[in-house]
Formats: sequence, C-alpha cells, structure tokens
Amino acid sequence: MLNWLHKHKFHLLFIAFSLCIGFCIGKFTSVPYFEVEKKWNILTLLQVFCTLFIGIYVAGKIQKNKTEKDLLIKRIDSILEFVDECYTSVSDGEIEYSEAASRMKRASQMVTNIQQAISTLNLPNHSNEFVEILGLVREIRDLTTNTPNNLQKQVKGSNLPIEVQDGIVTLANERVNVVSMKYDSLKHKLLMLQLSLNQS
Amino acid sequence: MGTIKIKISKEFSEAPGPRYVIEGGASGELFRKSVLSPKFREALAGSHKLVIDLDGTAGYGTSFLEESFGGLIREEGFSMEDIIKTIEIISVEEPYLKDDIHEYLTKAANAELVA
Repeated sequence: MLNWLHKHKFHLLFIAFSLCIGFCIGKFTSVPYFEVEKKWNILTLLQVFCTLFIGIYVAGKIQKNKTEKDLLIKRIDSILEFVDECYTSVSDGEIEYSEAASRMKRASQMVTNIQQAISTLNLPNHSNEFVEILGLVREIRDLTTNTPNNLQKQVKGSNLPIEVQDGIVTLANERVNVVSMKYDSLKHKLLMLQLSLNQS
Repeated sequence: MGTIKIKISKEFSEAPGPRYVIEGGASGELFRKSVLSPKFREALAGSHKLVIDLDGTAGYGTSFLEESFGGLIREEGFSMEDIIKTIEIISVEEPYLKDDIHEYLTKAANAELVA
C-alpha cells in the first residue's frame, strides 16, 4: 500500500490539487445561471472516480508505450551507425574475408534482437519490414563473401567481380557500386522501420 | 543409430575463412577435407546422424559454406539424398543458414546432373 502511494504520489497530489481548486471555485465564485449542487449523487461520484482512473490508466499506458518505442528507435539508430561503419569498411573495395562475414552476422543479429524485442511487447510486429531488412543483409553478405569456385573462375577468366588473396577480399568497381546500392536500400529500410515504429 | 557431432567453433575455427586453402586460413576446403568429409563418411558407414553446430563463430562467409557443403557433392561425390538423410544442422544464432546450406546443396546437385 505504501509502495503504491509512493509510486502514485504525483497523481494523488494532482487529484487533491484539482479537488481543492474545484472546491474553491465552487465556494467563492458564483456563475450566473449556474448553481452548485450541495448534495452529491453517489453515482455521479463513482462516475468522477471512474473517469479519473481511466484517465490516469490511459496516460500511463501511452507513456509506457512511448518509452518502449523510443528505446527501440534508439537501438535502430545504433544499427544504422553500425551499417555506416560496415559500408565504410568495404567502400574502398578491400576487406578481410572473416571481418566481412562477422560484420554481416552481427548486423543480422542486431536486427533479429529488435524483432524479438518487438514481439515481446504489444506492438505491431512489422514482419514484412524485417524480412526485407534481413534479406538485404544476406544479399550484402553474398556480394562481399561469395567468391567463385574453380569452375566459375575458368568460365569467367580474369573478369571476376570478387577475389580473395591472403584472406583479403578485393571487389571490382562494379561490385562496389552494387554493394553501395544495397547499403543505401538497407539504411532506407531501417529508417522506414523507425518511422513506422514511431507511428504505431 | 547413434549421433556424431561437429561444433565448428571448437573443432575447426572461431573465425571461418574463405573458400580455398590458397585464399586464406580456416577455409571451407580445409574444413571439408579435414573435419566434415571424414565425419560424414563415418556417419554414413555406421548409419549415424551427423549433427553440425554452426553457432559460436564470428560468422560464415557464403563461399565457406558453399565449399564445405556444396563441395561434398561436387568434390567428394556424395549424393544429395545421403547428405539430407545424414546431416542435421543446428544454427540458433543465424537460423537462415539452414536454408542457405540446403540451397548450396541443391545447386551443387543440379550442376552435377547437368555435367
């Protein structure tokens, strides 16, 4: 009980303050054509308390949802920063193979964690957006780590979009351009997810 | 029917590398030749299940997985049917890798049919 009082002290103070104001207005002012009833009907009183309770409950619920959404949106901000970092690491056309693979694993896990967090809250699941985002992460992983096998090397000759030597991946200019476009799409999808989370 | 297990992060590497040995360390080719293929043969001979746990690594590149699993068909000559029957993949951290591996196997099997 004490805990409850402590937790809701501001609400209770606000109610007490409002009642005082109402009492003062009723006591010291008289509005023409209106008259203050000296007796209160018990049903009216119940109605007042129900309205107050619903008001406080709805306000609390909205505030809680807003805080949760803000946390998720901030987390997507950190994914966007990470995606920018990933793009910078590959933009000059060279990256360590295991680094390219591990960055994409981390990106997909960060996105999956957001998806799991959303599913534990009572928020719309945005499943289509997540499918698209994870699909793009996989496409980028393929574009930066899918090196040709010997047969493909023979067929394509020296005109390869991606090569590996000493564990370092080298991307041809055209491949870097494709990867850049995929990163742009990924950032756009993440931004759209932030917007739709904000609206939900 | 028993079970043979491979946890790649412990038995091979925490940071899997590229496709071929000449391309860098911890390659898919090395994994297939030194770990996957011998254990697969053992599982197949004893009618055991081969459970491969992909979790715990820094992440897999596409060509590492393609060379490891697609290579079982392309380089080692195993059949798709035996592989599907024998191998079970565990991947909690990246569940989509199961589908990816299935796709590599299907493509390798189709390429073998065409050849």
